[in-house]
Amino acid sequence: MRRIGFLALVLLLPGSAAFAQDPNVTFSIAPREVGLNELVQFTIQVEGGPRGRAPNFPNGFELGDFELAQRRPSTSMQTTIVNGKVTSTNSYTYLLRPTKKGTFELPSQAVQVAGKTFQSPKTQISVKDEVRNLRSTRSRSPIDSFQNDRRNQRQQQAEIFAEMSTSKSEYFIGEPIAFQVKIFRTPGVNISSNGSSMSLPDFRDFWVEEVDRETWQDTVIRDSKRYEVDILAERLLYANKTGKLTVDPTEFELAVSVGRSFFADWQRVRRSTNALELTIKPLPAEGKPANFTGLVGSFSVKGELDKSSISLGDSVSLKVEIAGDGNFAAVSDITLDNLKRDFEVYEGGTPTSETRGGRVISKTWVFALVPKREGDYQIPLPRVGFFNTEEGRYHTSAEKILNLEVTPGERLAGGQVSVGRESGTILAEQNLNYIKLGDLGDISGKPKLQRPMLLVQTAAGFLVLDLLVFVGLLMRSRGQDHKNRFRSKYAWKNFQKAVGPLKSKEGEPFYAGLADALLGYFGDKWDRPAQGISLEMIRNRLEKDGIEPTHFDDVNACMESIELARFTPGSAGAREQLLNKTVATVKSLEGVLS
Amino acid sequence: MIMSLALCLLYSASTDGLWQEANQAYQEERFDIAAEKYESLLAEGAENGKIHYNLGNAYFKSQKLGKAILHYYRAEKFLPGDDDIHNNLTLANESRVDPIIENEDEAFLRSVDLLWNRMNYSTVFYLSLLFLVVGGLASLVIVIRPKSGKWLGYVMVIGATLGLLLMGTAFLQYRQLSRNDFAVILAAQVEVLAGPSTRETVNFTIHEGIRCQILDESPGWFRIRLANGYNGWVPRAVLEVI
Repeated sequence: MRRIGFLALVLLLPGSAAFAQDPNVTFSIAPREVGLNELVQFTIQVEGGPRGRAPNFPNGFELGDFELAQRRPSTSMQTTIVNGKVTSTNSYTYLLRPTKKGTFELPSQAVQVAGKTFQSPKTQISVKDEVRNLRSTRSRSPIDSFQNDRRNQRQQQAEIFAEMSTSKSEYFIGEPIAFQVKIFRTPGVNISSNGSSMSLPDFRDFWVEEVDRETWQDTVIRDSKRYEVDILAERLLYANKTGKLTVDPTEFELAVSVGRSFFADWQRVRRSTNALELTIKPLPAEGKPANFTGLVGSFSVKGELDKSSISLGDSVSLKVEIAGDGNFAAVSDITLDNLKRDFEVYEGGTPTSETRGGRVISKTWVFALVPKREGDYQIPLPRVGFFNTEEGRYHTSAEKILNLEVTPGERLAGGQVSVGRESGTILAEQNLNYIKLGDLGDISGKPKLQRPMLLVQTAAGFLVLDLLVFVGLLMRSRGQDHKNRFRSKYAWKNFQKAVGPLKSKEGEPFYAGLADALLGYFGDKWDRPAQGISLEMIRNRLEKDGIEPTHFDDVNACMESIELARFTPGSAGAREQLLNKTVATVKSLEGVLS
Repeated sequence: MIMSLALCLLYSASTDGLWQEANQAYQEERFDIAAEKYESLLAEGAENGKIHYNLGNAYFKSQKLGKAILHYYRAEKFLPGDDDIHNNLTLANESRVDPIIENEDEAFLRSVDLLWNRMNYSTVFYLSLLFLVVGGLASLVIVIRPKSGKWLGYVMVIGATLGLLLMGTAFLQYRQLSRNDFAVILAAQVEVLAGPSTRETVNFTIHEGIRCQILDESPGWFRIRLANGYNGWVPRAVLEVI
């Protein structure tokens, strides 16, 4: 029963799932370095395709300088179930035999799987002399293999040795130096990590960057022998100075055995690598671009906006990527200061790095841009200056422009457009009013400000003036009242004052003055204007006041004498007589009226 | 006499030349050079609102926010109410790390926006004087001729009221412009301490461009107060008096 269930699981699930998904096809070609008597494996791995059906080559298998060792491929199948998802992987391996020595290109193959065509990559394969078969060492005793007798020493060193290498021996300063430490061993020789140790040299003239890649294996042919190669350490070195620099050897102590037999005897052997001599050249002075920050290698700048059109107030994301092969440690941070005139720029944190084979191949920055006004913008990407080691000269990355359209944004209350603001940085330079030009003007160095106390003094001055005028007018009014109130008391004095100057006058002025003085006396006495006083009025008033009529008769006689004398002026004696008579009349009246 | 006249003419020619060179450097966007030349003018004893304003602009363009704000405030003392200074000072203050902290007088004046933000000190002063004179003359006529009509009474009341209001504004503006106990922080970031010693605890942290009032001093230290009432001690070197 359990067996039937297992068969059902194997036959039904993979089959149903296999047809439910598109195939994923990958190619692998190994090794890239073969001897004339060795074979190259061309493997097609089909994930999720039809089971048991070898891929077609619609254009035929283009072998170039190789021939098929066998017509049909060897196949293998693997089924995995992860979280209920069944995946079937079929591998088809073709064996290719080289026909001659040299370096050849295996052409790209068009492979058809489940009706879809996939293309394998072109691959360079190096064909060398026939490789000697050293697998016979397996049959030797491990003790024989690593015995330290002179007869076997050369053979031992040939079977396991270490090497330090760089891709070339001359570098420019700043150029990354790919440094590897490798162990070469003939097939069948095993190294145990337990009991093995490696002592890397002191890179005193270099700045060292770790390569984030696990140890990996390869195979190479040396002296017509195939070796398995373990790359135990990889670093990127950057020389600190120019000239001839030396990297000291790496020392190993290895636990090795021959064969994988349970009874294999593990032995400790010491190996050391060669020393490296590197020549570090300075960068040329001429042709250095202004934006050169020490980048050595080959770099390019790419960028993209997530939107090509936005409304004012919205933000757009700008991704800037510097990609290439070189010393990325010298890539300085991108700030986009040139965009801050038109945009508010918000940095998206630390840049992300992409690595391949443990080395950084690109750095990417993300910015949020908020335009400050509507319009069509051309956003230039930053440019980097670098020294290209292959060409031996400086370059600046190509100029690239991104276009952005900003349409009018939503208006808020008060007519303000919603735009964010970054605190702490100067953003609004375009709104800065320009400097003052023209003449320098007064440079005395003291601000001239009118003191506001002058305003208080002005206000106070008017208040005081108002007060003074008011008081003046009040006093004047009161003086007049007082004078009016005591007018009758001063009638006799006023009369005397009026007639005093008449003694020196003659003719009409004398008589008119005397008549005015007499009538003025009655005006003062009765508080009336002198011009309105008549003889009739005087008679009535005197009668009303109970004054004897003889007084009025005297006054009447005086007035008649004055009027008569006006037409027939008398002598000085006659004038004095008339004056005395009038003064005597008024004096007698004063006696009765007061 | 002739010697001193010749020296005066020579001085005037050199300052004018330096002024033109500084402006030229600014126009060619060599802001650091322009700032150096404006500073040279000040060092030679030439000082006015134009120099401080242009120097503020040069520092602003050179991303030296604290110095830009300092010189805008100094320019404002010479040219109170100048629109350019007001605009650029506002921009500079908006670019500061710390939020805008006003002093109490400014906060009050900002609330009477009509008088403070739209009229400069000279305008306020002369308008106040005009209204006071008109109101005063009207009052004189009324005192001399009490039966001169109602309209003269209205003129007096309106003139006196506006004159007194503007006079109050003028006093507040003058107080702001004539104070010399204000300073601007020039260091990028300053820890304000509880006392005049580096061993004292940190009360709070402020940043470049903020204006503060100097309350007290001690050798090497100033005690400062922000408009929100926070106060503490900072080294003398981190600020400059306006």
